[in-house]
Amino acid sequence: MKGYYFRAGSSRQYNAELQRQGQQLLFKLPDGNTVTQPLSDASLTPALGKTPYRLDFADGDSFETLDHAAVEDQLMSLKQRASGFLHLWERRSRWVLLALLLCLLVLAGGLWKGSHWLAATATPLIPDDIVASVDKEALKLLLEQDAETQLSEEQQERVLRLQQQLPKQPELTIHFIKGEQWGANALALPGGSIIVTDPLVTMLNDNELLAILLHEYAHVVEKHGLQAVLSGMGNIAILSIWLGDTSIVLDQILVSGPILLQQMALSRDMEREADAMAKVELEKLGVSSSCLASALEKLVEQSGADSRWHYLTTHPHPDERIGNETIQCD
Amino acid sequence: MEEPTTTDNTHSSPQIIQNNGRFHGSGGEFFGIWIVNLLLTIVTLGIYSAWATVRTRKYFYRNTELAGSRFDFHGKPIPILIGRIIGISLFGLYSFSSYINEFFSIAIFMFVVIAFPWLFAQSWGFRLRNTSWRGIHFDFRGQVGEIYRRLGIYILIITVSQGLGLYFSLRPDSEYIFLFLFGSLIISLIVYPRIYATLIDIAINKAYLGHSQCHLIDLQPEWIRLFFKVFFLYITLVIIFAIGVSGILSSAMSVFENLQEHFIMIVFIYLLLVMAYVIPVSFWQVGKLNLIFANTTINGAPSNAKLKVSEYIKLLLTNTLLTTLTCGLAYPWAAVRIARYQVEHIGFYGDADNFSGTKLKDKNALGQEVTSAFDMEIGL
Repeated sequence: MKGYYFRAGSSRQYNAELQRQGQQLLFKLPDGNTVTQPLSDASLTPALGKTPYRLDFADGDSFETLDHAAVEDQLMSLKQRASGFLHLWERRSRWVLLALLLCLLVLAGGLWKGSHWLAATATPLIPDDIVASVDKEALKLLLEQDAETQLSEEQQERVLRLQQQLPKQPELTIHFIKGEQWGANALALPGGSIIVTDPLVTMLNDNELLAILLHEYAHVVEKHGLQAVLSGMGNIAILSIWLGDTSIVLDQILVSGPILLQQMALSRDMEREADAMAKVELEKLGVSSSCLASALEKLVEQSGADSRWHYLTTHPHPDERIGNETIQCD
Repeated sequence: MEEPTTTDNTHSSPQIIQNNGRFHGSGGEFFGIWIVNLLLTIVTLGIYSAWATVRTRKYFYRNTELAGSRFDFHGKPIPILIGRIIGISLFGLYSFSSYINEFFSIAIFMFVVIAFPWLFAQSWGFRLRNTSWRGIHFDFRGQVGEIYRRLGIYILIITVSQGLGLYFSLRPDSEYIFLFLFGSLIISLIVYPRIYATLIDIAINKAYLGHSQCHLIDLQPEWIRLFFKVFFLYITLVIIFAIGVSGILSSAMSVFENLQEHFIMIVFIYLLLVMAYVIPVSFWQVGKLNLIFANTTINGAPSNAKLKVSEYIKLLLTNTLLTTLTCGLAYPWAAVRIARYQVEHIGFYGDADNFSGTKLKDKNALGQEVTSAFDMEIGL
């Protein structure tokens, strides 16, 4: 078999021909000299694609050859490690296809349910003081972005009185903001802070407001905010394994797109969960569960929301949330 | 994919022989290696990634031919894995602590900045010592002390400006914030090209092939010029992109009625974005490789590089589009195309037979993995 022979410590390249004679390897060099190396002193580099094989000898000499067939025929008794198996796998189109399908399966499964499942499992494990400090930072930011509440003392007390009807655990703290950017809205942070805007309080009657507070309470109980953050991190991890090698632009386009869609789907699921829980809690308090629908209807009217782009919204379609029940809530 | 083009230089000799690089890898073949790597990495929850790195690097090195012989990579997976775990843990701690305690996260960042010269020497040394060609290993003999001495002033500047950054981030209402932001931009523009020029200078001038030392002439003004050219090109393209997108969006809401037109609009915005990325990156990559390889000699034998920006833009553009359209599946072909273009446009004049040296092994991949986790690699 033909190849190049290199003496230890020199870059001179000799065209050489290798002949195996039993346990000896004979290299014929162009100047007529012959080098003999015992087979037991040789180590063979693992196969990798169509790259050359190299024999390294104990004295530092080496031999490089592209004659794959001859090496595999004559020298395979030399130690070949697990990479021999990899080499076979990488070169058979059916096995490669199988690897591709398995990758896609894991990727799709991970994005579709896996990261949410992991997030839901991991959320209760996060220590309360970390949740509290995340909560504090987020609250600070939210309060800074909006103006102070204009609600009268009485109106604030009305909300706090309604809060008494909520289950005692976990403990909630209600914060009021003017709602310049948000309009009539309420928001729950995983540590138990609930933010309520002025128009929400003035627009809704007691039972409707109670329904909204219970909806937010459900978000807190399930730590939905934290779940969303964790599942987003999970998705980034999954996609960056897939696209880790590709360019920055691809990262932006291919990673942020699916993550956004998945996050929105997750958010819609969470809203549905919170709606359902709020209705159950309303019934427990002897209030019609249609009060939630009534509150939502008022909010939709006020914001004029129209969500044609179902996949691009964080909340389920209002029609779905309000439903066909007759609304009775006074 | 910059791995195959480390440092290919040679020795002086009376007869001038032009040795061009050649690349033998193929996209189809690399696809098999890549997808098996990916699957095993997922199945082992990331542990296998170190083995995958070694296998990929070997594939590219062993397909890179210069003067009739292939390069090889000798790094071992376990040190890479250990380095990677430390690097990722540090980065994780850094990111996570920014939610909890800003001082702690700044402290980690400062630690990495201050340790950077040491990490750089480790990282570049690992790369060179584990690269061989014709049985001779490369080596890096840069002294950490020298790197500290030459980078110290810049590290001090970065440390101070980061400290001020922390101060202002805690007082966002300060009236000096814009002054500070502007100032830190100016400082970055002054400091970063100089850091880069110094690092390249040390990286090449302290690099050896066996016993032969590489020489790179002082290129600081050229690096600064290249840096500013790319920077202003980038800014210009981003402004064009922003104007283009806002123009499209402002007309979009009224003009585009159906889904199809929205789709065309998104594709157009995407193309603009890709161009704003591809053009400056091409100018940088081509400028960088040409600067280094046109100015390096090893024992008097000059290396050369003849990359062209226009060709590189075409290559990078088609690569990006292909990879996007296939959701990443065309990545192996893209990587091979870039490697082939780089390798086949770099070479050297001289005799390849006259190098001597001993075998070297470097088992410490910590520097490489930490700098890579913090995205501080200089990427030669």
